Amino acid sequence: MSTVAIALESSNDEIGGMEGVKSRRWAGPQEGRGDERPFGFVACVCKTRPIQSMQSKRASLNQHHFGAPSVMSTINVLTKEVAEEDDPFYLNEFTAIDDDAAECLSEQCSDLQLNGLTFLSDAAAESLSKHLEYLRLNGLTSLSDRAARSLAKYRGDLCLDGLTDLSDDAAISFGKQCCNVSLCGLASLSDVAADSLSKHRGGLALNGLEHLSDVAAEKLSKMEGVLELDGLSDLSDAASASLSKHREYLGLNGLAVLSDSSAASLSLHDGRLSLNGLTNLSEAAASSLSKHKGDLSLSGLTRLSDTTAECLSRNQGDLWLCGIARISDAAAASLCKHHGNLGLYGLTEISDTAAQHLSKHSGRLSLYGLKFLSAASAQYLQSNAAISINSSVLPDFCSMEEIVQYFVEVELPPYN
Amino acid sequence: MGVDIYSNSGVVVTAEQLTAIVCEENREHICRLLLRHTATLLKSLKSNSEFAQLNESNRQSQQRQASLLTQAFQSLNIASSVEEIRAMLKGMTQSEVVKECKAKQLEALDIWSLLINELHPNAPSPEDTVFIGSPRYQGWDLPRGEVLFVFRYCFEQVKTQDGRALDEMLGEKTSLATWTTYSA
Repeated sequence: MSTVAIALESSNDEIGGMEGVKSRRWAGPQEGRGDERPFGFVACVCKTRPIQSMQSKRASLNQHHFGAPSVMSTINVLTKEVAEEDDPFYLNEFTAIDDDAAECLSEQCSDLQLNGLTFLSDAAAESLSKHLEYLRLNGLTSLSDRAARSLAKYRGDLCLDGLTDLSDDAAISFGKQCCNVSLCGLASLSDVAADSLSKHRGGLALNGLEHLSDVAAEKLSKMEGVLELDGLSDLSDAASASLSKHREYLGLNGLAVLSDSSAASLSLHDGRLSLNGLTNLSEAAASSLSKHKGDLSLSGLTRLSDTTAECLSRNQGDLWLCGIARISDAAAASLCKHHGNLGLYGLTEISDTAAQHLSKHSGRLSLYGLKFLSAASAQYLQSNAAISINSSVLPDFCSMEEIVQYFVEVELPPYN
Repeated sequence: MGVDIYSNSGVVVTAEQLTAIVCEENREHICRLLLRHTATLLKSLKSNSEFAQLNESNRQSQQRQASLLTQAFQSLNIASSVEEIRAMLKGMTQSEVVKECKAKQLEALDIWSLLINELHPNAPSPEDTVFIGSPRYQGWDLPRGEVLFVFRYCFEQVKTQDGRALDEMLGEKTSLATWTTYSA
């Protein structure tokens, strides 16, 4: 079966959502042997089931079929008629949009999902830019500079995670934007584009970037607003030093290793710092990060040494250690001195001594992960109203007899 | 109609051998692990009776395992001795009903896997169970009359000089074939 003309191929039974849908632009005639459509044309091919079988009335009304010997290609056009329906929010099954439909949708105030669109006309982009709230166009793999200029005027949250490259002109346009924009499909960013985007005022998600030059890091550090760089798996000391000057949430959740010098630099960052990819932290790095002024998230750590706990307890913002499943009594004694909110969602069990220590914590303490709690531990933790525990936590049973009595209403078949 | 014959291989271990993982140092930990696992299963079953979250297959499996735990470990408590815990673990697969029921053997296998994963995370978990009834049909060098636990991937094959020479002669990488000859 030929699949050369596929622009959107469904990897599961659903063609509507972005989940499981891989987008690919039909790049050139060499990929389209045997098919006479011009390259750049974008079609939708449902490999797992024909689109006619979908339950949506909208889907059956607006498709144009292109005959092919072995595959069924369909463009599913979003028309004004559909856009005027009562609930025009989840429109991911549409692969193209009429300009007047875009105009119609621009008047809606909603979470508008158009993730199936693989092409957007300049006129449609201009119309959609007037929409408010949340606009998702994750199926677009490229955007004309004019369309980018229009979308840069958007005043809600804009998702363009399908874009795989960004022209310098488009970067200039998005740099003038003051809303949250997600460009997580970009695998690289030129220094020029980084310079333009540094002027962006609002959140910027660039989680597809795997590498960031020192120059680009320096430029992006000047950005005002949330900066997400979760795709970076390593960071030079120079880039760390630059990013430490950023003043807002900084997401570096892809980093699996953090050098002591990078930790020292990032400790100077003023804002929320998220390093959830780290599974280990040296004592020197922990000591540096303890000086960080702002919230610190280290939820990738699965173990917490007593020394690391002692260091991190000096952090003055909220501290998130949601990957820790067990905690020593000494670590609990240290963490109870922490000022700020403390998230220990991953903790599944706790000793009575550790519970006694943590009950003295001064900020809010989240212990939702606890599944079992002894009577003594429960008493300690419940003495502090700022401590949150899952209401369905079970007593830490001491015998099978107690368990059977506790769950007496559960009927079990005989085993032997 | 016909007879299907399968050839199997692996390291087979008795429940008696597996009980070596219980020692004085981890005795209380094992007790708590088994008690908490039982409570978690029963909580899930209780919740299911209220909210029907489990599918029928999962519900039955959880019921079988909860039954096994509450009956085989009926007298378990956090003060149970090493010998008592070992006896209860062996008891999971000693009844005639369990010897004849693969599904129940696999529930016991899951309990052993739980303990092994917790106490020896680098060690393999058993992949299957086997009960040898007839040595003539099933093999003479295996313990008879008890449920055995199978660990399949404990050896690796290394090509001999002959094997390498054969590959060179044939111009391709050969692989080892296994078969069983059945004589009525």
